Amino acid sequence: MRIKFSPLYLFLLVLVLMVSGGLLLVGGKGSENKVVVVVPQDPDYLDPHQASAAGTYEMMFNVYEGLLKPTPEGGLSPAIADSYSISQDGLTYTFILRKGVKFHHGREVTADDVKFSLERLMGTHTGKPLSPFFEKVKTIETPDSRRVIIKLKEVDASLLSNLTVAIVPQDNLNLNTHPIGTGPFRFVEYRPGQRLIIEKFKDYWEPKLPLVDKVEFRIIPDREAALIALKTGAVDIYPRIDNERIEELGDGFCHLQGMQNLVQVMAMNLKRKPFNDLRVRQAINYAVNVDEIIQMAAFGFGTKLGSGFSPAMSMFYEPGLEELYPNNVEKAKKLLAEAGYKDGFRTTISVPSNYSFHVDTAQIIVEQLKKVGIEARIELVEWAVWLQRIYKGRDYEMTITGLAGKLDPLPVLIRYTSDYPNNFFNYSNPEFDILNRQAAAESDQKKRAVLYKKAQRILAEEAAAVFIMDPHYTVAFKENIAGYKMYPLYIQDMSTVYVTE
Amino acid sequence: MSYLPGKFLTFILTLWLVSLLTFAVFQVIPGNPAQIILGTEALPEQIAALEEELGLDLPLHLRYLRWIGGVFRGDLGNSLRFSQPVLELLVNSLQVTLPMAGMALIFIVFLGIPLGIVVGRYHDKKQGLILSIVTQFGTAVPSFWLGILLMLAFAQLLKHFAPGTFVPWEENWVGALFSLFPPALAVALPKVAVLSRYVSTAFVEEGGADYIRTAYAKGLREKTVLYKHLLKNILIPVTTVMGLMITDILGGSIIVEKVFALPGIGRLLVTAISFRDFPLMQAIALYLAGMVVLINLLVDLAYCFIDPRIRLR
Repeated sequence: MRIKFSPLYLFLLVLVLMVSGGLLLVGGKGSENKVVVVVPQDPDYLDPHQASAAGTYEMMFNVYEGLLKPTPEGGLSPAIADSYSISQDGLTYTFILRKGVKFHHGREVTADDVKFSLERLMGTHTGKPLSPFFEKVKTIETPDSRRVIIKLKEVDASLLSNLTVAIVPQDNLNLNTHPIGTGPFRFVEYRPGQRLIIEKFKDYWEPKLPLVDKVEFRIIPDREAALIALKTGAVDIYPRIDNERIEELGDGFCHLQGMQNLVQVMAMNLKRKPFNDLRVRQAINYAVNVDEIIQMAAFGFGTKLGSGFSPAMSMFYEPGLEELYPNNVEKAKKLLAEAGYKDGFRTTISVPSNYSFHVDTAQIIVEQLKKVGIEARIELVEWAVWLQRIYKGRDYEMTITGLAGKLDPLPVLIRYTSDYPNNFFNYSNPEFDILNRQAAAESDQKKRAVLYKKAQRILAEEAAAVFIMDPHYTVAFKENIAGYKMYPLYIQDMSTVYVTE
Repeated sequence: MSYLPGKFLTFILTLWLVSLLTFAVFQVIPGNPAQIILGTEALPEQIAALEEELGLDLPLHLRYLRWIGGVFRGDLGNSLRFSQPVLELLVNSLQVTLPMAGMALIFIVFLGIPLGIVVGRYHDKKQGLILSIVTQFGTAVPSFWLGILLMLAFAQLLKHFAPGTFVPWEENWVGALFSLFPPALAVALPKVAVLSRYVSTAFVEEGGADYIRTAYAKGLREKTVLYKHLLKNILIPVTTVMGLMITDILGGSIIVEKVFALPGIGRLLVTAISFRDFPLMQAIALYLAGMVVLINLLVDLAYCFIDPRIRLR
C-alpha cells in the first residue's frame, strides 16, 4: 500500500504532534512556592522616584521601602527607621535607623542613603524636584551612620506619611533597569506587556517574611481574559475583580472585600451657569439617588459618601454627611424653580470612556436627573482628552471620576482649595482654604482631625459636587492562598501571602 | 533592470511619508503624554519637568528632526509610556506577533487551498454545497467572537491554553508555540474561509476553459489536469489575495490579542495611541508600512515566478 503525503494529512499530523508534545512539555507546572497575581497594566518607571502610576506602586511596594511603611489599618509603622522623635515645636524630626537593614545588592543601609534619597526627591543638587511633598524641608543632617535629622522650615503635618517614599542606595545605579530597594522581595525581571517577577529577599530585616519564594505579576489588561486566567488556575490572585463576577467563580475560590479609600464624585463646573447657583447644586444632590447607584452600578458593594472623604480613613472622617441630601424629587424641583429653572435645563456629563464603572454611573444619573426636569447628555471622552480638556482645562459642565485617597487627609482635601492647580471643581471658599491651611500647620493629629472634619462639612453643605461612593474593592483568590492583607491604598502586599496545603 | 531600485525608492518615500503623517496626526489630536503618564495627582511643575525630560518642550520641527536623526543612526528612541527603548518593545511584541502570523499563515494555506479545491471540484454536488455553506459561515464570523469561543473552549478543555500564559521563547519554546496555537487559529479561520471561496470560484471559472477541455481530451488523468494545469492558472488571483491577508495578519490582531491577553504588536499599538507615545507609535507605523511595501514586492516577484510571461518593469 502506498502512503500518500497530501499536504492536508501532513498538516493534520503536525497539529496532532504539536498538541500532544505541548501537553507533555507544559504539563508539569512544578511545585515551587510561587504566587501569580494578575495586574491590569504595565509599570511606568521602575525607578521609584520617577514612577507616578498607581499601577507601578502596587507592584514595587514589595521591592522598595521607606523610613516608614503604611499599615493595613491606614496608619504608619517603622520600616527602615526603627524609631523616631519629633521636637516640641514640630520642626525637627530625628530618625534612628534599624540595625541590619540591607539593600538587595547586599550593602547595609546608612543614614547617607536616606539623605541621598530624600535630596534626590527634593532636587537639592539638580534644582529639579521629583516630588512636591518635601518643599517644607530645610535641611537633612546625618550626625552618624544610623541617625537622620530632618529640619523643617515650617510645620508639616503630613511629613510622616510622605516618608513612606522609597529609600534607594546612593551607589548611582540605574534603578529603571536594576531596581534595588530594601523590601521583602528582590526584583528579578520585567517583560513589557507580559510580566514582572520578584523573588524572596533572604536578608530581609523581618526574618520571618516573606512567606513565598517568588511572585509573578502577570499583565492582563482585558478583564474577561483575567477572569478566565483565574478560573483556569493560570493565576492565583485577581485583585479588583468586578463585583458582579464573584459568584461565577464558585467552589475553590475565596474573596475579600473592603473600602478602597476612593471618592467617586460627580463634579459640576462651579464657574459655569447654572452650577454657580448653590440651589441648583443642592437640587442635583437631592435628585441623585446614591443608594440606587450603589445597587445598580456597584451591585451593592459601595459605601455611600456625603463629602470628599472616604470613611476608610476613619480618624479624619466626618460621619453623617451622607444623609444631608436624601433623595427627594419634590424638593429638588422646588429648589430648581427658586433658582429660576422651573422647567429644568440641558447639560452634558462628560465621562472618561475607559472607566466603565463611571459610564454606568452616568447612565443611572441621567435617568435620575430626568425626573426633576434636567436633560443630561452623556459625552464619552478618551482618557487622554479627559485629562487635558476636562481635568486640566476645566472645560466641562459635569463629569464623573474617582479621586484616590492617601494615608493623609491633606492631599485629599487640598483638591478643593482655591489656589490648588488641579482644583478642577473650580471650588472656592475662603473659610475652607483657611481651615486647610491651619490643618497643614497643625502637628497635633487630633486637632487636625477636628479641622478636616469641619472642612468636609463645608464641602457637603455647599454641595461642592455630588459625592457618590467609595466603591468596594474585591480581591478574589484560589482557596489555597492565605495571608492576603487589604490596604486603604493601591498596594499588593505579597510579604504575608502564603500557599496552604 | 530598474525595477528593484525604483521599488526601493518608493519604499523609502513611503516610510518617510508615513512617519510625517503619524507625527502630524499626533500633533492634532488632544492629549499630553506627560499629563497621561503622571495622572490626576500631578502638579503643573511636575508635568513641566517631565515634558522637559521627554523633550516635549521643544518646537515641533525640532522634535521631528531629532527623532528622524535618531532613526538614521539606528536609534528609535525611548518609549514615553514604558521608559524602555522602543526597539526592545517592538522586538518583544514581534516575538509574539510574527510566530503567530506564521502559524496562522500555515493554517490559511494548508486549510484554505485544499478546502477551496474540494469545494470547487464538487461544486455541483451535495458535498460541495454543504462545504460552501460552511465557508460562507466562516467568512461571516468575526474573529473576536471566534476568539472568545476558542478561548473558552480551549481554557475549559486544556488549562494550559488559559489567556495570559504566553511564556518567553527562550524559557520554553514549545510552551510559547503552544500558547499561540488558539489565537493563531482564531486569526486564521475566517481567512481560511475567504481564501477557500476565492480558490473554489477560480476553480469553477477556469474549469470551463478550453485548455482544460483539451487536457481531458488528450486523455490526461483528472488529478494531472487539476493539479498540473488548473491549479497553476488560478495561482495568480490566489497570490494577490494571500498578499493582502499576510499584510493584515503581520499587523497583529488588536482584538484577538486582547481576547487572549497576548503582548503582541496590536496591543502595543493601542497603548501607544492611548498614551500619545509618539516614538513608539512612529516605530509601529514604520513597521506596518514597511511590511506592506515588502509584501507587495514579494507578491510582484511571486507573479514572475508563477507566470514567466510576466515581466517586472
